Amino acid sequence: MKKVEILKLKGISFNKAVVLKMKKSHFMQAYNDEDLWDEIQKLKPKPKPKKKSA
Amino acid sequence: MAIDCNCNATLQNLGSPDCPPVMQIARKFIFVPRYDAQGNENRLDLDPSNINKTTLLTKINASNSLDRYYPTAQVDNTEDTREDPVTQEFNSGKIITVREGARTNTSFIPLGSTQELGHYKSFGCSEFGAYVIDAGGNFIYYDKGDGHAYPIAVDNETFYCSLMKATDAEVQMLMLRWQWRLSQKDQNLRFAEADTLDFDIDDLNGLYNVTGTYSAASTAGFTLTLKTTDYATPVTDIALADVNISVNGAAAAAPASWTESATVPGEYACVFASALSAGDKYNTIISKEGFDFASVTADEQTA
Repeated sequence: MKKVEILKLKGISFNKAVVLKMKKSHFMQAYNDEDLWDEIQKLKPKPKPKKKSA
Repeated sequence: MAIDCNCNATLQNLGSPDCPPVMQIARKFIFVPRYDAQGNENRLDLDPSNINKTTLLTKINASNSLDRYYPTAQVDNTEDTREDPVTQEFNSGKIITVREGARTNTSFIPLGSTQELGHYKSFGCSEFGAYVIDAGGNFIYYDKGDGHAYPIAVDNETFYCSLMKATDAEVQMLMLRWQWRLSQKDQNLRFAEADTLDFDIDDLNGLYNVTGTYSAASTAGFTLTLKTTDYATPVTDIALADVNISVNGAAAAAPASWTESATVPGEYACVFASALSAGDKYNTIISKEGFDFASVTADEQTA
């Protein structure tokens, strides 16, 4: 069974993989919490720097 | 030739250990449909043994009712006796056994509820058998000699259960009575000794049916209150990992969040992974050991 990584913020149990992919409009419709949105965005993995071409 | 004889067999050796393990009085039955969803006989492997906690809990929680095992509540005052054989007496005085008498089981469930009675009534309607867990924790089965442990076949047409109301001297009870199938020979009963098992009688219990009530539903999510169908007790501790949502019949996928109310036991707030469109259909699929969420799954909602 696939392991679910749970993220608990402000008493809400999030599926981390799913919530990181949520659109902001849907997130705000569901939770109406800008601070919570910002907090979750900080958890997004940072993009890897592009390799310089030789 | 007496009944149960094989013409080619000679007398069998009668060596008996000083202290042979023997069966004790039944304390719990595990009812099992005769055939599983694939049409094969329900049975457990003996070599290597499948009579273990993991296998039995998987069977008890099987999603298909034909694959599922149904442990009863603990029983008391069990009497499991075989009637005298049917005989024919000749003028000479010789008496020959025509057939064995039927074996009848009568058991009582102390403090059994009328809701349980309703569920037990359904067992008279289809073929099934029973494994038995006795007072010593032994697991009793029927051995056909093919390397499998079969449930002992019940003659479902004889299955009867009734409510025994409380009196000044007795508590309310359920009475279960049935005959084992005439084909089931006592000499083929075997048991896995309690010492070899990794479970005891308290580990194996029947499922509760669960009913869900939706509220505050929108295209973003919903609130769902889960209660046992028969007793209306809140179903708590359903975790995010236990829940999936199927939208418009597509494969079930995890929701974005699933949060149990801190104030209302059994109430959960669910937010979809992505916003639905008005008119989308969805089903909530929950699985948790000890509960049957089939009616929640079947209860399709419209966003």
